[in-house]
Amino acid sequence: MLYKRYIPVVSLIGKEGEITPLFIIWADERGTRKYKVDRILHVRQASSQVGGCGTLYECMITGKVRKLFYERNRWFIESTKPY
Amino acid sequence: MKRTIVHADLNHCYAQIEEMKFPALRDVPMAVGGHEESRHGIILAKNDKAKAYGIKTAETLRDAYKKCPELLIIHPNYGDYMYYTEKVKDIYREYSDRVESFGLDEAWIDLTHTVSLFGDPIKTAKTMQERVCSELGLSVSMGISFNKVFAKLGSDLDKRKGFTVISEDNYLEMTEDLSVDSLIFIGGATTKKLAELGITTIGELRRADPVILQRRFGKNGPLIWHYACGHENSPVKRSGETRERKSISHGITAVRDLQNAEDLHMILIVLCEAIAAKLRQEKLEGQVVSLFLRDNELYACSVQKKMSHPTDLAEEIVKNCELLMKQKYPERRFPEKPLRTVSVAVSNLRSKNELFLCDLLGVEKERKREETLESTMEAIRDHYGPEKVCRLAILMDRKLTDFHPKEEHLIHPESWM
Repeated sequence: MLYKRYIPVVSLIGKEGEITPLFIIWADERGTRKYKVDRILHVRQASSQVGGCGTLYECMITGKVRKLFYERNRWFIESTKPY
Repeated sequence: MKRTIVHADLNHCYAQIEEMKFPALRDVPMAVGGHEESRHGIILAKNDKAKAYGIKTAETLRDAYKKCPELLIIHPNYGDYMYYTEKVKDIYREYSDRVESFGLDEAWIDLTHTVSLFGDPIKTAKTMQERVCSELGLSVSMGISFNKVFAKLGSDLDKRKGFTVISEDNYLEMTEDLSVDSLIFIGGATTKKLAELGITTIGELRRADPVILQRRFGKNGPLIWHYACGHENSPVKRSGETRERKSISHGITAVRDLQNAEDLHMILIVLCEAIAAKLRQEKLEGQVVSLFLRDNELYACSVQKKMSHPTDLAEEIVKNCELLMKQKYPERRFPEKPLRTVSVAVSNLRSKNELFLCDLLGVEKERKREETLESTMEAIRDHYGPEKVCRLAILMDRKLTDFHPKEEHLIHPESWM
């Protein structure tokens, strides 16, 4: 089961307005940590199976493929943890 | 040249967008509806599960709950609906410069001239439909034909991401047995009248005598006959081309029932000031004023009159509305039952005539003064907020008059003609 989790993301807005996520900020019972977005595999418009749609960044984060969405004006990630 | 026109319809739009945002809503009977507390309690759209309970668009929440007590009501998020429907149209606009909106959820797309860019228009339409689904998670049903009327008819035939092609080769058999009301512009009243002439299907309408139709329906008779025969050939408007305004209207279901002419007067001032401001903003004036009333038993009536001259002044619109009330209800200037909903429309619009008319009675001078007053008040409101200046009359009951028609998100249904 996947969940929709809105998260803070440190991102770079380029000269042409293109947005690149650099770090995601993850908070859980063990505290708040930031994880580097190691590589962006794909960028495309897509809808998410957890609801919502926007620009999908398929990224490598700590060795795993993650689906990070930029929805209108905020970020969410398809997460295995509800909160 | 043979045209290829697509009509794309975002099925039960509001409900579908809510489901896209929260997929769990697909598993329960759900409808988008207004606020019962503020008395805007009607169903605006419903999902398939709610439809299975027989819930209909435009029925009251109370009736809907009777059919399905566990029905989940979501309050409308108009900002989202406007955003996502615009995103859908952005996809269409990548393929053609002729994308004509018909309300939020529908659009015609002319693909006639896209062949050299994208190849077979039918394949292009299919691509657009797939892209809307994969990129936005929304399903549109499409009808493809050689004119707008049959394209719209096609998209209505299969509401679940349908894809219907009505070509010049198959339109006769495809439309033969369809009910006449599946044609755009033919509503309940016309269907009934056509049935009296023994016409219930599009095939029968095609074989009817246009002369008899003209006698029965006036100029609309031959028009619907042409539609049935597939002669309709109006162009799909270019993106950005707007329909010419036919009227400006505002209405409200008040927070409490209106009891007398004084209550109505207050509501009329707020509505007419908003209309007048809109008229002045678009440099228009209108000569026909219509008043729509609905009482607390939902009985509705409307009255209209032509004014002596076109106007863009709230003062004059209010006066004429009250004259209408006086004519309809000479005794109390108010109906017997309390009123629930009031709306005012000004139509017969034309560009504002800046010429100063020959002013024998000094009326024009007085109007000019009123105009300065109203536009100054409007400027103050725009700048400092709507509550900064108002007519004293509306302070009699601030709760009743505390609404701002101008600022509300209003999505008007569009008419075909």
